[in-house]
Amino acid sequence: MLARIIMVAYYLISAFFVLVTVQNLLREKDSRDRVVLYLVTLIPFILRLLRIK
Amino acid sequence: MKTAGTGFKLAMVAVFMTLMIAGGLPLREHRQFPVEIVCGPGVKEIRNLSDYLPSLKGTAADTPVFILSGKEPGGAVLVMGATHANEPEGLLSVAIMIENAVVEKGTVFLIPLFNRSASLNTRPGEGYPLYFSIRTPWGQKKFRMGNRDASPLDQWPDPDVYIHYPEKQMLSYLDIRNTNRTWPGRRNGLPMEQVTLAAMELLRQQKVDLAIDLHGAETMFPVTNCIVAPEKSMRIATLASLTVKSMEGFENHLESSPQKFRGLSHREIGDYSDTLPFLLESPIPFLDQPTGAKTEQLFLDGRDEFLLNLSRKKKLFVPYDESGWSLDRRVGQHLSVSLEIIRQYSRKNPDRAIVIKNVPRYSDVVNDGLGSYFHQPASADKSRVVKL
Repeated sequence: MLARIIMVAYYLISAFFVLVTVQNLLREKDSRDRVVLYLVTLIPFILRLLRIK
Repeated sequence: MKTAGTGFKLAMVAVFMTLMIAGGLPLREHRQFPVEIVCGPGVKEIRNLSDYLPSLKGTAADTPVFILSGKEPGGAVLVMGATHANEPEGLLSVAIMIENAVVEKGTVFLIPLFNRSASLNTRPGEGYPLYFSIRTPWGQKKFRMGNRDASPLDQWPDPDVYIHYPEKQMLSYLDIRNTNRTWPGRRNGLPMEQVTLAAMELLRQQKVDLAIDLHGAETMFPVTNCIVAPEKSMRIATLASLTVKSMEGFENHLESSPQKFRGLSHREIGDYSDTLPFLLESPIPFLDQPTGAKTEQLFLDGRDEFLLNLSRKKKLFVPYDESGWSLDRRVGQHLSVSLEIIRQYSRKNPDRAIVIKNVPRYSDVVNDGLGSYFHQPASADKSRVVKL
């Protein structure tokens, strides 16, 4: 039961990170490196949210 | 320094979306790819593991149990494949039994994908292929290549240290998703503990005499090409080992099940039920670390120049030459040794005998190719085709 709660919490945290990272991506004006960094960071969270990996 | 304008952002998002779709779609397709098994004339009933533990119902860990029963009463045997889904020899051996076996006496329970969640998991980081195909008289038959452990999509998070239940031994965190470390299982445990508990319930409720767990191991690992058995199974295992060597000409040595290493099928089934457990290991060169690329061909023929070199230096635990160690040999060994264990037990216990016909033995599989024992799902009665 505890593991299931943690699993659900993990999906919620993943969704939160995706939201915040996309927000930062949209706001970024100065650094191209940071744009790439945000996109790299997004990949594992999106794959987990889509239940692919 | 160039700024990150909208044009750059859109271009980068497009690049990353393309990469993610190109990488993610094959993984998604793999998880949904059905392995089709055509039920042979011997299959009388299909149940699920959740029939023995309802909490598994509707989860990716639930898996079909094929039941073949004879006209005459007798003993019962459970044969499990794909406890480790990156060792598909077990799945193929059990699938051949499902498609061909006819039971004359006793009952045979067959679980082709014991850790079904692991069969939906992949190992692309180590370059494993997602699928492998075998040649049959009617074309290629494709199977998913799985992983050793259940998918984190189905069981997560892992503990820092896995404490085995009920023996309290500390094991690697990863082994909580390994169904050969979670025996005898726990009712309110994590999904893989429930899978093994469901199998224990099956063994107890159906009064199963023998449990055979089919595996494969590296050629550089000493516990390979062998039968692992605890004290109570050793007599039958010895007779089976000697018989296949003298009658069928291949080695399958004996390994004693360690008493202090917990969670393994060959230890816990014996300790927590009346069933006699056996674990069979066939040598899989594909699993060895110092090989060339992990290709489908290496999996199928087991030929590798680096292993050949190591063999010349006597670093392997099995005889190894240019012919490699083919999938046909590995599956053939599993079938012959399983049949021999059942035959030896039946000789010693005539009132609990199990008589199985139409299952090919080592020489049949090596001569004919294992693909010749699979039936074409497209031309079979749809009600007899099961998607795993």
